[in-house]
Parts: sequence; structure tokens; C-alpha cells
Amino acid sequence: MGCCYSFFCNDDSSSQAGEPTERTHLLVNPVSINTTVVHANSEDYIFRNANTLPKKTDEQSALNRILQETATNVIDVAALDSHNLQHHEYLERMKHYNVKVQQVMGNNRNALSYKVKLSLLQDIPMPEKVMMSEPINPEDIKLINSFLSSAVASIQDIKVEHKENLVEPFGINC
Amino acid sequence: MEKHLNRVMEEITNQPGVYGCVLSDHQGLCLGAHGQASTESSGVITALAEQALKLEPKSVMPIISLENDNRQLIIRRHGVLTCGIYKSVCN
Amino acid sequence: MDRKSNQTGYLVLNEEGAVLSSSGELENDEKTANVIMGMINLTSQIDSVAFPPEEGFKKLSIVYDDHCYIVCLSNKKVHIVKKSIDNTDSIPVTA
Repeated sequence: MGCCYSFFCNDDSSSQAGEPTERTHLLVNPVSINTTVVHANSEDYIFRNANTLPKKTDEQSALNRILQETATNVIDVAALDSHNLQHHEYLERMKHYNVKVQQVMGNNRNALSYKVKLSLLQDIPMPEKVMMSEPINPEDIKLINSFLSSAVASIQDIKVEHKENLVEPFGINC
Repeated sequence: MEKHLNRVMEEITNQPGVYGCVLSDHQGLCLGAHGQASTESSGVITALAEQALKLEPKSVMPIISLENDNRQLIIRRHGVLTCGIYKSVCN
Repeated sequence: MDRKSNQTGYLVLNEEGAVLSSSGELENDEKTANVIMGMINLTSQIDSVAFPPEEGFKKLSIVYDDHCYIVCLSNKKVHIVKKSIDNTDSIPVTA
């Protein structure tokens, strides 16, 4: 909104000072440039002078060429959205988008709720009872530890026993 | 070879209450599953152990236990191995 | 009730994992909250052979040598408590 505001109000006389103010455009708009609007940007001065003076000196045409080249290479964000939205258009679009979002939500309700349900835990009524309980049986600790230590020991036994040649000659006899 | 490992898994599954076990390597590759357990669960079990390791990275690997009224899953990781034991619980 | 006295901290999270209330060692502990949410939201099904698909878990415990975390889901809120474990009558966890 700030951008739109400055777009309409930049005929403010204070911007003639040549210094960047809050009304100064971050990006210069070379396409829709308006000579009646005084811009604080130095490049705009060159452009304006080039238009107002009928005789172009070599220096000016060179500067103009540089400006043209720069202008073709710049992606002008301000010019992309040249159509300024009116208030009722905002409301219309808002309504339209809301309808679309509701449609998508309605169609994908199952998929969305499935995503939320992706949980290991099920909802229980009395959390205090679970919270007060012992975390794990000492026997279970013993069980997992003995399993783990014997598994670690037995994993050492796994070796690759190669019975055949690792390198097989192909097509030697042909 | 893996005969020793199979015997270890068999012994664990014969313990009272235990009805299955899974063994996986550090990347979640299943090294073995015995009893009522699927080889596909090794990835999830390793991921759970890995996530639990982030809780207190300086402590030793904790034991993870998941319970409901009938069943329990106990997970622990040691070095490159992660093992899971499925137990039925009678209250 | 004496079991409750070894509680050293708690966290209550909403379903998205945001801290609703906390105290003790887990006060505003978003890191613990994130790690535990990462665990319980990892999957909804661990093993289709070992567990029936409609069956969830009621309690998740993460057990260290001298302390543990217990997690459960109730009324769409994730409850986490951290407890110290009396080491005298339990077998140490070290493998």
C-alpha cells in the first residue's frame, strides 16, 4: 500500500530537493515515466533533460544510450503491476479467493485430517495416571540390554564368504 | 555368518511376553526380523532412535519405550545397531 | 504421591508443538518440545505386522540412567514430564 501511495503523491514539492526521501522510488520506472512528475533520482534528471532539450549533444546521447541499455536490462517491478487495483476490486478478489480456498479445503478434507492424525500416540482421558507410572520395567531394561549386547557380539560374526571368483572373465575365449 | 544372529533373535523371541524383534543398522537397513515383526519397521525404529538421540546428545543412548494397554515396543541403539523388541503386556 | 516428588519438570504442548505451559528443568524448553514432537509425529504406524493399524500408543518413555521423560497425548495436548529415577533399585541403563 505504501508503494501505491507514493505512486500517486510523488508530485510533492519536497521531493525536488534531490535527496532521497520516503517518497523516492526504489526502482525507477523507465516505461511509464511521466515528465510532469519530478523524481529525485539522478537518472530521471538525465531522462527528463533528454526529452525536453531538442538538441542532443554527444554526451547526452551517450548517456541516453546507457540509460536505454540499463532500462532494457532492468526488471521493473513497478511496471509489472501497472494496473492499480481499486478498493472494490480488492474485495471482489478476496471473495473469489475465499471461495476457492473453501473449495480446496472441502475437497481435501480427508487428506488434510489424515496428515494431522499422523501421530504415534492416541488421545487418552487421564494423563496423570500415565505420568505417574514408572517409565519402564527393570526386567525390560535387562531384556533389551542383553539382546543388544548379544546382537552386537553376533554381528561381528557376519563376514562375506566368497566361494566363487570375485572377478569373472568374460569373452576371453572368443 | 548370520546363524549366530538368528539364534540370538530366536532366544529373545522365546522370552516370556516377547512376540517379535527387529534388528537394524545405523541407516535403517534391516539386519533381521524374527517372530511377529516386519522387516519394514527397521527404518522407523532407527529413525525414532536417531530422533531420541537429539534429546540429550551428550548422554548415552536412551531406551525408548512405547506402550498401550496390550503391547509394548522397546527400542535401543548401541553403536551402529538399533534393536526393537515387541512385547505383549498383561495387566 | 511420593512418586510425583521426583518430577523435575514438565511441558504441555498443543498439537502443533507450541509450548502452552512449562516448569522446572523443562521451562520454555522448545528444543525438547521439538525433538519429542518429531518423534511422535514421525509416523502413525510402526509395524503393520506387530501392531494392528487402528491401535495407537498411550505412553512414550525415553529412559536414561538416572532420569527419564514420559510423554502422553490427552485432550489434544501433548504432556511431557521429566523425572529423576531412583537408581538404587533399578538396573543401570548402560549396555
